Amino acid sequence: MAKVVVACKKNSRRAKAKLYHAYAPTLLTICLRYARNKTEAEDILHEGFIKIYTKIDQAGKGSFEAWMKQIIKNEALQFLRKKSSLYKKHYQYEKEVEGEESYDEELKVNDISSKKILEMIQGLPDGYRLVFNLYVFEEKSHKEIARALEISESTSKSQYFRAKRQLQNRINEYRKLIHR
Amino acid sequence: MKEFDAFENSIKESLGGISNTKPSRLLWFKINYSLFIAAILRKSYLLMGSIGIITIASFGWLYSNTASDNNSVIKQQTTENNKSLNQNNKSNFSPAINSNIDNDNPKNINQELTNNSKINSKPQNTIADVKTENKTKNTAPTPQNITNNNTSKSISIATLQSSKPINKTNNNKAIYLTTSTNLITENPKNNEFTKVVNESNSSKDKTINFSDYRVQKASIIGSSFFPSPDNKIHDYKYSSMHNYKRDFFYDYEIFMGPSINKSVFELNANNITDSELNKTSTLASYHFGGNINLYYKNWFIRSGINYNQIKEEINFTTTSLNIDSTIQYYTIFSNTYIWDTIGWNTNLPNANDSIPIVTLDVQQTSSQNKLTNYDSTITTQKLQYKNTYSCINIPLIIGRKFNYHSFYFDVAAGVSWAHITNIETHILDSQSGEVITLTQTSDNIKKDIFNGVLSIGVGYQLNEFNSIFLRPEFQYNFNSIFDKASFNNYKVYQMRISFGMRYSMK
Repeated sequence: MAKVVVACKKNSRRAKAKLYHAYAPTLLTICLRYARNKTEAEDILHEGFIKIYTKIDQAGKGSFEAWMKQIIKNEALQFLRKKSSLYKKHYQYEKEVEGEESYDEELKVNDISSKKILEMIQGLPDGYRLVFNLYVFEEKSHKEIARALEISESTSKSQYFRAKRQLQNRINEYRKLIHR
Repeated sequence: MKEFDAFENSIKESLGGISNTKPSRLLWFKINYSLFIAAILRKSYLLMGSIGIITIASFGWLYSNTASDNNSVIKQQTTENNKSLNQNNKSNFSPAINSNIDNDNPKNINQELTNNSKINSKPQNTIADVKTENKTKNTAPTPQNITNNNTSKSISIATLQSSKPINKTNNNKAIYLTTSTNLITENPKNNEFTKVVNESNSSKDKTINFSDYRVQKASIIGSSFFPSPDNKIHDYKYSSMHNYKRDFFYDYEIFMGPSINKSVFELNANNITDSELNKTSTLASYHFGGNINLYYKNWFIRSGINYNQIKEEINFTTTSLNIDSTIQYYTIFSNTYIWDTIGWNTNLPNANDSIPIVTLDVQQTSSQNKLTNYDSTITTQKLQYKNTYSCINIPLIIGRKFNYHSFYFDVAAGVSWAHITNIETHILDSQSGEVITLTQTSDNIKKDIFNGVLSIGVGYQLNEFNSIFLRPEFQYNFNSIFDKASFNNYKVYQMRISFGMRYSMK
């Protein structure tokens, strides 16, 4: 793969195609976590790959894959930021979830397929999904999330908590549906 | 390490096992397309092309507008001319004498011969006053132009705070109340940065050496922000910091491109009264040349030399009245009959009667008279002049440049001196189809013309030294090309677009 990267730096079209076909599925999976659907995820991937190709000279000596993933994550973050209704939706959802069922720390999802879980995460409001992704999958602290999203730490915490609760509600509803 | 609860871990595990999703096939093409467009934009071809198209479209618009204006004038006048031509009428004067004098008819002997040939033959044709139509509508386009501005390598070096020493000591030492170190000024556009470094890591109220300070100047090639390891760092003494302001620089440019021209003038009414002059089609020509631009910061003076061709087409319509006269001569013969009694005849049956014996003597006289018939005709002659002036232009222009990333824009105004080296004239007589070509410079043409020049321009920096540019330019004669004896205010508007390349001298 190192050779492919070097060739990409030399603007080889073949190498670019090779890089794309090698990493696009992995990176798209990341995008799917952040996006609402596959179309959005592909939009993020599209922007991400353009950035990868244009900034490939700046790739460090570390893991190239990690560097690409980081670019994709940043792109996803930017994508969600651009969505103007982001914060409005947060607010609306905060109101909606008030007074709903409490959070169950022990709830497990082993009986539900990964695809369904992903769909449920995608169904979360943009803000919830973003904070949830950053906290759970990127393992960022609330402080880091707050800094990245330019929100307060407490907002990050509350968003995360509500995201989890929302997700649990969906899981419970799904279970009820399949056990009928 | 973060600690997750059972639910969070469960979610993580669940999604950890998700298989990779293949993106749609279209995505790769979309990425390729975006990269292609981005590459084009980076190279500015699209932008330059767009500017070119817009400018050409503007030219086309100007051209078609001018042509349509002139066409309407031509149509109108053609109609009038046709009317004039149809008025090829005969004069309405008294009828010519048809009196064939029959000498054999004695009845006519006493006929009083009157000469009816009094000619009232003033032609009744009236010459319509032909007004000279001066379409001196100023169709001059907005002045445009271009310039280059080179990436100045001037470095603005930050001044050290409280840099005045309180005490000077031997050994070129000084005490500073406060010192600031690592003052960096960057000029990413110019790929340079300058850094003032205090090597002694000074703190407040510390005695330091001047030599502790040095200015580092690095030239960064191929990167906008960070120096590559190969770039050299030059050290300079603090005292000579200000020598590195390089505000003055210059560059060369060569250019060529198309021009369109439109002449504006008025007839001198004293000389040409019965003529009509149409300033017609705007014609295209070309120019090429070279300039040198001298810069001081963002201001520049541009001068050089270029060959400039000016073309014009003039439809010249003369309307003249031709009076043809036909002279007829006729002769009037007059016979005088003289009866003379030469005797008396008495030998008559009636002896008492007698009749005179007469002789008839005929005396014939003749007189010749002149009869003039007039026939007037209005003749219209349409001549088409195509003039081509060849000029050597020397501009002197002052302008200001603006940088935006790799692009630069400039606006400039000034004057130019044009020396007409040659003029070629083709005169087409539309009726006879004859073409007359003249290549002499007429005495009434001024050979030196001064022009006002306005220009705006856009350029793209290909690399550190080379750039390409596109410069629309508007040029207008300050003084008339012809002397006043022939035409009044004979001036030429010229719009030209220069495509060129510039080489900067750093």
